Amino acid sequence: MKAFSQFHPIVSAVYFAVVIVTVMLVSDPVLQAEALLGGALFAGMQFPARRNLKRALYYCVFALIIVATNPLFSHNGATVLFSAGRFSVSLEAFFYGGGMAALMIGVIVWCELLSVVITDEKFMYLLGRVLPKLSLVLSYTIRLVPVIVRRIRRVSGAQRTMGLYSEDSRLNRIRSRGEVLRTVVTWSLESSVDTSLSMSARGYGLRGRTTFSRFRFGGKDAALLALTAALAAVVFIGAAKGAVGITYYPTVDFGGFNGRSLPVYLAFFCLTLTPFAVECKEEIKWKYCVSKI
Amino acid sequence: MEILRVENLSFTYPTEQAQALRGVSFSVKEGEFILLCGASGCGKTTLLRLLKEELAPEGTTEGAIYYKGKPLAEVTRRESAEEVGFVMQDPDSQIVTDKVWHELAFGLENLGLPRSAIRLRAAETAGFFGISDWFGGNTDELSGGQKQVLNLACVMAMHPALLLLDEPTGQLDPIAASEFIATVKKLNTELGLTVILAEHRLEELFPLADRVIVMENGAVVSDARPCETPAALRRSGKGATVLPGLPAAMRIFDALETEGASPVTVKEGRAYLRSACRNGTRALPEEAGSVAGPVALELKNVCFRYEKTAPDVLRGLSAQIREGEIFAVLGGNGSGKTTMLDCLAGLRRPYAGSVSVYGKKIKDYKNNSLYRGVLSYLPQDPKTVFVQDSLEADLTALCAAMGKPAEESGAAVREQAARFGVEGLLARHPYDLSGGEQQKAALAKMLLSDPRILLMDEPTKGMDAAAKNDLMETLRRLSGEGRTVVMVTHDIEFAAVCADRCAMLFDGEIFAEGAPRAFFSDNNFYTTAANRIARGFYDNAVTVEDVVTLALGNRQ
Repeated sequence: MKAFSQFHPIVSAVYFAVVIVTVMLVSDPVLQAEALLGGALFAGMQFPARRNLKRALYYCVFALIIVATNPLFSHNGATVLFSAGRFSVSLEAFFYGGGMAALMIGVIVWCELLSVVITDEKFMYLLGRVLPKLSLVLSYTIRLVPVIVRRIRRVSGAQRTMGLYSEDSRLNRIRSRGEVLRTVVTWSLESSVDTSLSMSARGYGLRGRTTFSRFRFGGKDAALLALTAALAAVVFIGAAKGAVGITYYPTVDFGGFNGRSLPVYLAFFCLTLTPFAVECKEEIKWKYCVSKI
Repeated sequence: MEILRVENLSFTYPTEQAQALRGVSFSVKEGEFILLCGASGCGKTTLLRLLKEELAPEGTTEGAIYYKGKPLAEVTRRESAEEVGFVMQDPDSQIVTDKVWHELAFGLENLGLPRSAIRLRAAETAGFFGISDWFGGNTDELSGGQKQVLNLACVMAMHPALLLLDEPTGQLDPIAASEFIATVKKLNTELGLTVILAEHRLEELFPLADRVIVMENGAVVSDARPCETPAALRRSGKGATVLPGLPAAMRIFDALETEGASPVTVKEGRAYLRSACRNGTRALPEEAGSVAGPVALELKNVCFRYEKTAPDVLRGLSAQIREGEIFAVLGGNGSGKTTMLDCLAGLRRPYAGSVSVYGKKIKDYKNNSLYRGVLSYLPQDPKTVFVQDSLEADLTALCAAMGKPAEESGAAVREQAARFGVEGLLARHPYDLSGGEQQKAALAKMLLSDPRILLMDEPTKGMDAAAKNDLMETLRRLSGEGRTVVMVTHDIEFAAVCADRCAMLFDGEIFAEGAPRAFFSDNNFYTTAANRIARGFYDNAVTVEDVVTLALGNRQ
C-alpha cells in the first residue's frame, strides 16, 4: 500500500476533487503544466516505469493529433498563418489545441490516479456516508454477480450432459439458454430468501443501525485536509477574481507571472506536488528505518 | 442454570394436516452441547427455527418455549438477535456483503454498536476463528468451508449465549466439516457457549456431545447421554430411522448387546470388541471375483491442467471400468476427482492421453450423441439438474429433447417416476423437495435418456442414513440392469458398502484399487470406522455388518 493511499477516503476524495475541478474549469497554461508535472511525478511513484513511458507516448500522440486537427475546426484566430480559399489556419488555433490537449490529458491522468487511490471499498464507504441503504444494496449486488455467473456455468454444464442440448439448431440452443437462465433466477430468488432470513437473524431492521468502516480519521488526515482546504481557497479565490487564466481568441491573452497570479500558481504547485512529497517522505523514512535495523 | 426450556411444543404448518412437531419437551442447561438428530423431515429444522424468533415459520404453535426463564414471545427482537445465534446449511446464501470485514461487522452495525466497539470485536473474532489472513478479502473468493466458518464467526461476533446450527456441514467436504465441528467444540469448551446442533454426520459428533436428542416424525424419541442413546432408543421401541446413521461402535454394540453403556468412539469400540467378543475365526470368506463384462470406460495416460502454466491436475491417469460395475473413486480435496469425472463426461478435454467410451474415443461422439443413450452425468448439486417449474414438466421436457413423441412422453414420465418412487412428487416444484427426494428425482431424470453409464459427483452429500440406503439400493438395481456407475465421493462408509470396486486418487493418479474388502483392509487411516475398530482383531471386516457377522459367528 502506498503512503498517499492510506489517508482517509474523505481526505482523498476532497483532494482529487479540488485538483480535477481546477484542471477542468481553470484554463491556464501554468496551472496545466503544474497539474501534468505533479501527476507525472505521482504516477512515477505509483506505477512501474515501463507502463508510464508507454502512457506518456500515447498522450504525446494524442496531444499532437489534437493540436494538429484543431485548426481544421476553429477559424477564429487573428494571426492567419496561411489560407486556402475560405479555409484559414491561425496560430491561435494551434495554441488553443495545445490548451485543450493539456486539459484532457491532465484530467485523464488524475482520474487514473484517483481510481488507484480510491478503491471500490473506499468508494462504497463514501457512498455509504451519503446513502447508507444504497451502499448496502450495492454491496449485496456486487457479491451476487460472480455467484450468478458461477451458477449459470454449472446449470448449463449439467443440462448439457443430461442431453438437454440435444440438437445443434440455433433455435433450440436459444431456448435451452433461456431455460438455464430461468433456473438460475429461481435458484437465486430461493437463496435470497435465506439471505434475508440471515439478515433478520442478525438483527437487520433494528433501530439505530450504525455503519462501520475500516477507515479512521487521524491527525495526519486532518493535517492534509487542512492543507488541501487552504491551498484550494487560494486557487479558487484567485481564479474567481480572474488573477489567472488565458484567452486564445482572437489573439492569445495571457497575463503571465505577476503579483496577483503568483500566489495562485504557487498554491497549486504545492497542491499537485503533495502526493509526490508524501510518497518521497515515506520512502526516505523507510530507507532510514531499514538502515537502522 | 437452565437457559432454554421447551414444554409440550407442537407445531402445524398452515398448508398441512399433520403436525410437524408433536409434544416436544426438553430443557437445556447453560454450557451444554446438544446434538439433535433424526432422519430428514423429522422436524429438526422446524424445532430449531421455532427457537429463534426471527426465523420461526408461519403456523399454529402450541406449548411454550422459555428462554432464560422468560417466554420466548417476551424476548425482544434486539435480545434475540444478540443472544441467539443461528447458522444455516447453505454457506453461500447466508452471506450478505461483498467484503469479509463488512460481513463480520454487519450484525454489530445492526445492533448499533459504536465504531470503536465494532472495530475491537471484529478484530478479536477474526483472530479467534483464524480469518485474519483473508479479513480484507472478498467473500466470493472463499472456499465453502471458509464461508461457513465466516458465517459462524459473524454470529459469534455478536456474543450470543445460545448457538443453534442447522446441518452446518451438510454442504462441506469431510475435512472442512471436521474443522468446522472442531471450531464449534472449541467455542463450547473454551467459552462455555450453549450449542444445539442438528446434523447427519454423527460419527464425529457423538463423542463431542453432552446429550443427544433423537427425533422421529416430529416427536422426541430419546433424550440421553451419547453412550446411553442405543439403550434409550431400544426402550422407546423407536428410532429405526436413526440407528443406521449412528457411529460404527454404537451400531456394533447395539447389534450384540441389549443393555448398558455403549462405546462411542473408535477407541472405545476397540476396547469393547476385545473384551466382549472372541476371534477364533478371524476373517470372512473372500468375496466372489469382480465383474467381468466388456470395458465400458477407459482412461489411458490422461493428463489435464486448467491453464498452460498451472500444474497438472491429472498426471497420466489410467483406469478401466467394466460394464455393470459400481466404481467408486475416493480421494482428498484437490486430488483431481471431479476433474476426472469431467474428463469422462467429455466436459473437459485432456491435453494428453485418451478417454474412450465403449472402445470409441470420446471426441468421436459428435453432436452431443454421447449424452443420448450412452452416458449421463449427475453433478453435485441437484439444484443444477432441474430447469422447469414442476418435476413432471421437467421430465417431459427431457423426453421431448430425446425426440420422444409428445403422446408417449406422459406415460413414460409416470412410469419412470414410479420406478424411482417419486410419482407422488410430480406436481411439486423440484426445489421444494428434500435433499433425498431431489436426488431420486434427479436419478429418474438422468435415466430417461436411458444411459449405459452414469457418472455421479458426491451423490451422498448432505443425505441421512435412510436416503443413503435408498440410493444404494437404486444403484444396485441399475448395475443389475447392466448399467455402469462411476461415482466420486468422500464418503468412505458409503463406498465400502455400495461399490464393487474402489480406487484411491492421489496427486492426479490412481494409487490403489480393489474390491472394497481388500481395498479398505489394506488402508490404515483411509478406511471405515468399523475397519478401524476391528483392525488387528478381525482381518477383513470393513463394514459394521462384517464385524457383527464375525462377532456372532465366534459366539456359537
